[in-house]
Order: sequence, then structure tokens, then C-alpha cells
Amino acid sequence: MAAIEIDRVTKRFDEVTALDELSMTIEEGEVFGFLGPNGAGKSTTIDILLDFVRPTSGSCTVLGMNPQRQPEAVRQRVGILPDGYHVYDRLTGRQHVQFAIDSKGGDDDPMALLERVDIADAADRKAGGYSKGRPQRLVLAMPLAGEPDLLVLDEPTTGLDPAGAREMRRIIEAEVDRGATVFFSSHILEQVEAICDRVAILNKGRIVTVDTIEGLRDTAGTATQLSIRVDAVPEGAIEAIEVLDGVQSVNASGTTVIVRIEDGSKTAILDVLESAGAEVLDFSTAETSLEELFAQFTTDSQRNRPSEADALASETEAEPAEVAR
Amino acid sequence: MTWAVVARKDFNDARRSRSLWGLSAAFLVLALLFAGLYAFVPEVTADEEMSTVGLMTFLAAPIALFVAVASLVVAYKSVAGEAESGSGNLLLGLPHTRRDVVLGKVVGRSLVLAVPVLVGLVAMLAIVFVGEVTFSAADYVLFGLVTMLFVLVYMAFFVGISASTTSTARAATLSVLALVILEFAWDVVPIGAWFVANGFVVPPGLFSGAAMPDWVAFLANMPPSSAYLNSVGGVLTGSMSGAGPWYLSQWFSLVVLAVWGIVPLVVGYLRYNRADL
Repeated sequence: MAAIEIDRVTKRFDEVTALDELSMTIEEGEVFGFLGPNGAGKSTTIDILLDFVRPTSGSCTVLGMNPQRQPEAVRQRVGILPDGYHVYDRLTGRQHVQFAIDSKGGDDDPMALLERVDIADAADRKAGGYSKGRPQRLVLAMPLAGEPDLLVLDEPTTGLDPAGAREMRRIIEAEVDRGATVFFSSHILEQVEAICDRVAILNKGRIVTVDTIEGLRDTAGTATQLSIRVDAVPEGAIEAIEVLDGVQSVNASGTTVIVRIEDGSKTAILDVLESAGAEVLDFSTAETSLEELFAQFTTDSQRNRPSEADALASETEAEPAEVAR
Repeated sequence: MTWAVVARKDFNDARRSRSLWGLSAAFLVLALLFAGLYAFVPEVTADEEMSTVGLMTFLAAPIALFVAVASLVVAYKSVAGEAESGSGNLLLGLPHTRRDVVLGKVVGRSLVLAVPVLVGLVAMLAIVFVGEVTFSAADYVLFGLVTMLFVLVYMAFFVGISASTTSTARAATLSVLALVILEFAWDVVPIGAWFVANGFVVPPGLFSGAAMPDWVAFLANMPPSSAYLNSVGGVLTGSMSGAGPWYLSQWFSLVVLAVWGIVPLVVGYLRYNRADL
């Protein structure tokens, strides 16, 4: 059984479409990273899985249950670290954790949970007085109560220093060893890179890709980015390049065409442009790194958006021009 | 049904609030002051003999006002505040339904206000015994019970308003508006309705207060505080049916009270239940 199954979920807030026909499946026992820039729809997805927000259309199941119909049954077996949370200033750390334990009807030892996140020393102080990083540790202790089958962590490393982020990783690994599925979102690639079995990259409410980290690395490692400056982009040329062998994506902005290819012929691309009547003025290639790949996946498609594409083109440090002909 | 867990969390949280302690101290002072006035300054009432019933009757109106204002302060942020600050995601991330949350809030916050009110009532016993007020335990307990019901009703009312919106500012505006209309401006409503029903002609007896038609009297009895005062009067005199029609009776005032508690709470819950948080 899948731990999470999302089937064509769309969510609109007034005029804004936060999620657009989102579908994905997370298997049991998996560590699944949910990557995307801020505003991509990560938190909305998580909010729907926990029934904080209702989908406009589409459906989802969590541990085989529909969160819209059985929200408390879902939350009974899920541990959630929400994004944008706020602790109860007047309650102590111990009271927070005890509240989570009582809510789940469990009998965990609150101190043991606080020790796991390393804030046992502050157990009896009010959470409102906690210094930076400690509230984040506290809200990580809460979902650990009751050994949940699924941990949903929304931007769990917010406010943590590097040591805290490492401890977070250790805790996640321990939970996975216990048999839990972990679904966690982040806008920082390196956090999910180190720990996730698979990642989904989300942008503007759509899944851009779902792959293993190795798969992503392969894509990034072999792909090359061509920047071709022409006098004018001929009509239909983009479409013609798109269908060539090995071409992954084509974007055009103003007079620059950016093509990502995987062992395809660069000459063929230039041929297409020239036979369509364009004059090639300049031409450069660049290898893409994992980070660039992420940036590319999460930057809006540049077609018909000159300003953004120009910015991207100048950001990508191009290798010295290598004319292939 | 985990509302009890939510209620306990909420009570633990709210009882540490400074504003609650200030409120409790204010109530204690208020209760002792009024009890002292009643016991030691005979001129403030026309009572020939000082009795528990007399004291309670004298106290009911200031208590009603205190409960109305205090429950607004305690409740207006109860649900909207959690939704706005994000602690609601922590709360609803745990296995509580939204009904558990709303019910837990009503119970938890009612306890928060019930404690100082009960403390005030008990503290007043000292004055009852020192000043020679005839003590009736039964009347005292009955008065306490109706007052607790009143606390629960007003708390449910304001929690209902708080649940109907995810903005603290809007919850505050709606709550204050409701309080002003129900507690301070209501007098205009029965008189205005009477005036309109009389064909926009000032009805005879409008200002003398005499010969008010029953339906106008019913309108006048509608606000929670009036219903509470009417119920207290009935409970203390032992007569719940009164002389007029059934809808002016004291037991019906208890029904009116219950409606004030239930209807806004249900409406607020339904809106909260549909909301994206």
C-alpha cells in the first residue's frame, strides 16, 4: 500500500491556482523529499493531506485513508511538523509534548522525547521564552509521540543551525529504521539530497519531475546547455528543435535560444535555426550541475518571457564559446 | 472525542495569562465591594431585611456585565487566534476534529472564567457572615449554578464568533459589536420595534414604561443578560412560570439563554469546519 497517494489534486484560492492537477505516490518506508521554491505549493499539498485545506478537485489518501473523511484517523497515525507553526508561549516544553501524547492517547515519556531533540534541559520552561532553534526542536518532538507510521515534516530545518540540521537528519534516519515513512519538504536541495530516496520537484503547483537523487544526478551530469544567440528567432524553430533527438527542453527569449540536450547533435540544432532563416551570432555550452538543474526545473518556462530568460542566461556561467561546426 | 484534552491544554494555557489574573482580581474586588455595599450600606437597597436572595438580586446585574465583558476578553481569540498565529496547525496536526477543538475551547475557557467567579462568590460568604445577612445555602448554590450556566453561554457565544473567522481582528470587531448591541444598546430595540409597529407613532406608555405589550416585553428580555437576570429572579423566588404568557416566564428565559449559547456556536463551528486554515 502507498503511504501517500495524490490523484489529480487541484486547489484554487480565489483567483490563484496553488496546485494544478497534482499527482504523485509515496511508497511505504520511503524517505521522500518534496522540493520547490517558496510558493510552489508544498505547504498547500501538506495542508490537504492533513485536512487543513480542502482540495478544489481531485482526491488523496494517506495510509489508505481519505483525510477529508477521516481527518482524526489520519492524524492518529501521522506525525506532523507544520510550517508556519507557533508554539504556545505560556506552556512549557514538557506540556507541549504531553499534549501531543495525550492527544494520541499514548503513554510515551515526555522527557524521553525531549531528550531525543536535545531540549530536555528546557523541559519546564515556558516555550515563549525559548531561544531560536529550540521551538523548532520542540515541534519536532511532538510528532514523534506515538511512533507514527508516517512523518510529515514541512521545512523541518527552519531556524536550525548546521548541527541542529544534522541532528534532525539522525532523528529522521532513526524513524525510518523503525519503519516509518518520511515525507519532507524543503526549498533547499542539499537537505533532501543527503537523505531522500526519491524527490519530487514542484513548481507553480505542478510536479516538474519525480526521480531518485541518482537519477537527478545522471540527468544533470550528462545534460548540456546550449545558449545560441541569433539575429531573430524564426517562427516554428522552437517547435522544430523540440522534436530533435536528445533535446530535453527549449526556451527562447528575445534573440537567445537555450536548449538542454543529452548527447544529441548540436549541429542539428544550429541547422534547424539556420534553415529557418536565422543567423547564428554566438554560441556557448555549459554543463549543468544538480543545483542548476534544480534551478532550471523551478524557474518558470522562459518561452515568451524575455526578462526572466535573460536573467537566467546571464546567471549561467557559460563556457567559452565552442563553435561546433 | 478528544475535546477534553484540548480543554485541558487550553485551561493550562489560559490560566497562566496575566489578563486572566487581572480579571480575577477585578472580579474579586467588584464582588466584595457590592456585597459590602449591600451588607453595610442599607440605603443602597429598599430591603427591610438583608437576605441571600436580596444580595444575589443586587449582585446579579454587575455580575452579568462582568461575565459578558470577561468572556469576550477570554474567548475572542480562542479559535481565530490559533488559526492566525499558526499554533492551530500544531493543534489540528494532532488527532482532533474541528468539533473537538471548538468544544474543547468552550469548556476550557468556561473553566477559566468559572474559577474566578466561584472564588468571588465564596469570598462573599465572609461578608454574608460578618454583616448580618440571612444565609441560605440553597439560594447560594442555585445562584451559583445559574451563573455558571451564564458563563458557559457567553463563552460559547464568543467562541462561536471566534470560530466563524480566521482573522483575529475580525473576531474582535464582531465580538465587540455583539457585546455593545446586546449589553448596551439593546434598550432601543424593543422601543423602536414598538414605535414602528405602532405605525411610527409614539405609543402611549412608551416612556412611562407602563402597559408594555407582551411581545415588546419579550424583546426586552431577549439579550443574554436579561435572560440571565430573569432566570436568577425565578430561581431565587422559586417561581419559574411567572404571571404572563409562557414566553415571558423564567424557565423560558433559561431556554433563551441556551439558544444564545448554542446557535452562534453551531454557526461558528459550521463555518470553521468548512474553512481552509
